[in-house]
Amino acid sequence: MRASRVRGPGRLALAAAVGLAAAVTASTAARPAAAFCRTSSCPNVGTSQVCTPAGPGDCGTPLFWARPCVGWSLQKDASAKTTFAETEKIVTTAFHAWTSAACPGGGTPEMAVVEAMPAVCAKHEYNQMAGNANVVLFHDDKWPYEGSPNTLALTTVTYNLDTGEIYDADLELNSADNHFTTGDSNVMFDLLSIVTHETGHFLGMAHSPDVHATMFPAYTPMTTALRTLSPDDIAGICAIYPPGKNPCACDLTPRHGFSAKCAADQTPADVSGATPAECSPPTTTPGTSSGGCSATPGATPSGIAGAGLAGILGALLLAGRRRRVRDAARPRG
Amino acid sequence: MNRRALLLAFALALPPLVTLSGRAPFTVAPAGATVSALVSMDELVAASTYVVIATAGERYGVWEDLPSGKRIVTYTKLSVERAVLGAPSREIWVRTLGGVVDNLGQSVAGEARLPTGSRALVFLAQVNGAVVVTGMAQGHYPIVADDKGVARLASSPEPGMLVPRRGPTLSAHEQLVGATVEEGAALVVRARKARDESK
Repeated sequence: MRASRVRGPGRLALAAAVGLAAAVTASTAARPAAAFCRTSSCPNVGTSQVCTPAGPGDCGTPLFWARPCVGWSLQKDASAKTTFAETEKIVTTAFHAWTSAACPGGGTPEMAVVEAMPAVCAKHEYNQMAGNANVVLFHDDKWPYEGSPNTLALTTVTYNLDTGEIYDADLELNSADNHFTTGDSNVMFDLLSIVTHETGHFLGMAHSPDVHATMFPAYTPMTTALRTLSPDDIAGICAIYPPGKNPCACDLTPRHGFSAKCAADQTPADVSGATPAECSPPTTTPGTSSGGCSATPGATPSGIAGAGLAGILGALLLAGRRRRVRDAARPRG
Repeated sequence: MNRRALLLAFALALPPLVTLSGRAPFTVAPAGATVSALVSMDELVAASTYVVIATAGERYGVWEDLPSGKRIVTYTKLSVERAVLGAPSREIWVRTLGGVVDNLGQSVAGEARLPTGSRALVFLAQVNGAVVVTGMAQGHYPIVADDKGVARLASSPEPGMLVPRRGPTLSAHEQLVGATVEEGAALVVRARKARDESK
């Protein structure tokens, strides 16, 4: 039950609830309690947000993954404190919470998040001249961000400034300075709660003023409530990826091809696939015109859903796991 | 509710209130993607080379190879109006994670953002040849005028997802947000003095 977060252990949870209640109360004139926000690309500023209904600080074009599927890779070493299999299950569960959400109008968000082969590269990268992967990784030995050992998790999202299309997202977890727990008892920093929040960012969600939302910007240690999405979270993810509205073909290949290795270690044979053909799903931003799938060779002209999508994803996943290296000759840049 | 709880409530409530008031210069509230434990004033001061009141000037984004990977960073020139701690030069280039290069944007929220022309109390750390904001957004407190025109410290526009501290120690965020500039500066000096005396 969502309210358990407010009743969670410690008086600080109460204080946080009171503080946020004040903020939310102040905002009700401008927007109702359920007011999800999306990360956006704001001209001359960079990253901003756009809320529904609109808020006073809204700016720019909301971020989104253009295709109805995206891959992620767990770094092969996972953590000495959390095994690969355990982490794999947790991240999958976190993404599933978003992609299986029951949208208010029926159906689920038109987005499938699929595990690709493990990454060897143990750092964040977005390469404009080499293969990429959307990596989830732990830093067991040393958190590499100087001056911020207090950070538990950090997601870096790289996007096209003009269109808002997300090109890459990496999620890093600071296991060097923090103790993540994975079970339902003796909870400290609940990994599934934190990853569910971070995967919301991965998919384009921004923080919500709704105190019950997983995307609310506070986590109370020793609680697991963020594991479950609130109606506000669900409204948000369904707005970004409305059911049955994306005509683009599924293609898990990251921009510039997939590579498990860091750019410095890659050879052409390490990179599979190439940048998928351009395709824009219809925009869901109020007041803007619809997009649409451009005429691109190889792109499926109609929506892919249900069993068809599942079948394609399964085949792609298998292909990825078998590490079948396709044509090494690929466009760069 | 005790004082700490009230302070935290205020600390959490103020930034949105300031943003929503329409009076604040920080009309942009970027999305965050960082989960951070609240740091104490002692920790923030101990990790900082300088604490300054400064105004952000020109800035630029660039790709840089860091221990955390090759990423976009933004360099912002701070014009130091007052050094609360340390002896910085009058102008400091500060590196923050994320930013814009050509048609690519990179979001690392939870990081301090220093919009041109904004004035703030900033905790700075010298690391490997660069100056960064200590504790990311938790080391950045924009200075905004309240309804009576008093300059007060606010939360960085996007502090990320915050995790309360355990135990009795107040976080720097709780102590500084809502304080006047003078009160904030005094808290910083007091924390340094206490630290020096304990050595």
